[in-house]
Amino acid sequence: MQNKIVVIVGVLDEQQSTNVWQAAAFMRNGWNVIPINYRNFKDGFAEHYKFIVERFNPELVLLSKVNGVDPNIFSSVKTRNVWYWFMDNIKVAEAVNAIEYAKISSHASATSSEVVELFKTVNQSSYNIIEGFEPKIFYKEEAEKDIDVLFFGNATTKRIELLSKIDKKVEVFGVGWPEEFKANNLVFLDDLRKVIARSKIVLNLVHSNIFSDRVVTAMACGSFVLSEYCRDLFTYFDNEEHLVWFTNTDECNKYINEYLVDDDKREQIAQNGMKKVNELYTWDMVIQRIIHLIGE
Amino acid sequence: MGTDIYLDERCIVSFSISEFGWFLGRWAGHLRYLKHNIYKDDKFILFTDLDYHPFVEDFITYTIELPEWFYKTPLDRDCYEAPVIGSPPGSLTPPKVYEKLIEYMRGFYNYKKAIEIWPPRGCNPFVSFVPQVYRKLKASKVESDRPIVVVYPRKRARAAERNVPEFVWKEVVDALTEDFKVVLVGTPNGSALVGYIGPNIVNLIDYNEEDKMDKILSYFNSAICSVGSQSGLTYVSLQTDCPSYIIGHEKKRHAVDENRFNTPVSFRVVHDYRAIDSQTILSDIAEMLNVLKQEKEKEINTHIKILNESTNTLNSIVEGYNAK
Repeated sequence: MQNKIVVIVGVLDEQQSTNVWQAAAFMRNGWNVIPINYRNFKDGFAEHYKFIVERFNPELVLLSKVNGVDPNIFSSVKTRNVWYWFMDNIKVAEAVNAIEYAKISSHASATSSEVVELFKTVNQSSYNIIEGFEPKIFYKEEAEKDIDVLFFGNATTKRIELLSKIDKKVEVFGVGWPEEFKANNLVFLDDLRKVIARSKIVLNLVHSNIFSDRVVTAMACGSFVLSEYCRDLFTYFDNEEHLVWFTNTDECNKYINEYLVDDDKREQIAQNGMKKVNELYTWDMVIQRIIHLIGE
Repeated sequence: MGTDIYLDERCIVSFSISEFGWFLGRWAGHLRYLKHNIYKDDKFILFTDLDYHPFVEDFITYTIELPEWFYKTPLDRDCYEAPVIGSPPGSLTPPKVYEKLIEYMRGFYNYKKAIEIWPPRGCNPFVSFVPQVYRKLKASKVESDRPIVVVYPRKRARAAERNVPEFVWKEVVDALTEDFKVVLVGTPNGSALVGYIGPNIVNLIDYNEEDKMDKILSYFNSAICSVGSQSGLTYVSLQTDCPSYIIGHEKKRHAVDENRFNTPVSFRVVHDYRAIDSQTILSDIAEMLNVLKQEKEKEINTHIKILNESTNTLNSIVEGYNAK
């Protein structure tokens, strides 16, 4: 039987891009992937998209957080399934007019339940699906735990404010941080895994009601995640079972102090988290869910 | 469409009683601009031939036919207005006819609430200097066992020196039927080859059903090219994005200025339309199709090159990790 075809419109020429690992998972599931790096087109994107879809007649077109492109380009070319994949918070969804893409798609998904609610106003086939992880990159690696608390991500006003109030030293990887944080450069993929492996606690801060792929990534690496609470976290994980969440800085400091010394408890939660994401949130599982939902 | 309409609200009203090409190439574009940019929430009424509706259905709420008496009045509608047949150039629609038309139109709406936007009077370049918005004309494609060529052989009483001789059109059509399905379009009183039939010919010139314009649009949308001389159907060909071979005397106007979507055009400039022969037309068409084929191949190669590059990059990233 001939392989099914998915056209992924996104960023598929940078190894740290989520889309590359979505593509890899489709390949492992027996699909042929046709990548369209839409941001590389100064002009001619519409013609290229039309050419690809009409020539290959794919079972699925995945628009991966596409923005800044006229949605009519996609609706004007007949195809079987168009899935709009969105992985940001509600403010970004509003800023990039994500709803217009959800509207012209046969299916849509967002990593944030708030965004799904927005999409459902125009497309009933909208689902809450979080980002997966690539097990070939993010797995438990034994290393000396020389970092107590790790935060990786770029600086925002909220993050700077919160991290300033943490009693323990937080090792920061990211850009835009004030001098006093002595931040390291951002790291990705294998380098990121190695940094996580050295950390006893990976700290996660949220924007609105969405948690980032940092949570899943850190769990996949067998690390203990201490996260700021958000509604979506509650949907996917159990507190003190797969991770621990806090609602204010005092709680955050309290848990850091508590879990830094209680190795057994910290390791047990980390172990549970790793098991959970490996069972449910590898990219293979996420992609299989999409394939199931489109009925292919 | 219909006669039981009466709009007692603000609405935008216009009409077209003159030549089709000017309407499609200018006036409709300006009205569409007004709908998109100025009167977004208002209903638009257009009084004209019902045939024109497919060209404006995207923004005109009601297309209402002109009154029956108007069609029976001997007027020359193949110019800027509708003067009496045989009038000297620059003549206007007879005042009484114009007045009666307005009276007729105002029976469909409250003119005190409406905004009436009449076309400029006479040969007036006003519209050329105001904003216009165009859209590609689309219709369902026609299945065919061979490539389709649409031919619109102009034969009008007005400016008869712009008619390519009918026998030339016949020779062209007969030769084209060897390789193509030829679809003849136009109006019975403005075209050559009325009723001409033969193998691989679809003649829509004297087809007179309601869906005539939809059929014509479908064939233009499905054709590999169109062939004709400067006339109203030139605008249809260009706005349907159908590669167009045009015989005429105003190359820049049709190939550039009024070619709103950069449709491929091969323009044969003639000073005397009666002097062109069928061999010239046929070799021009063959050359145009050859260029189009080469352009298409070039375009496909570009897409394949982009596809191969992006696939290779993706595979090398993924395989790099798989190899670990």
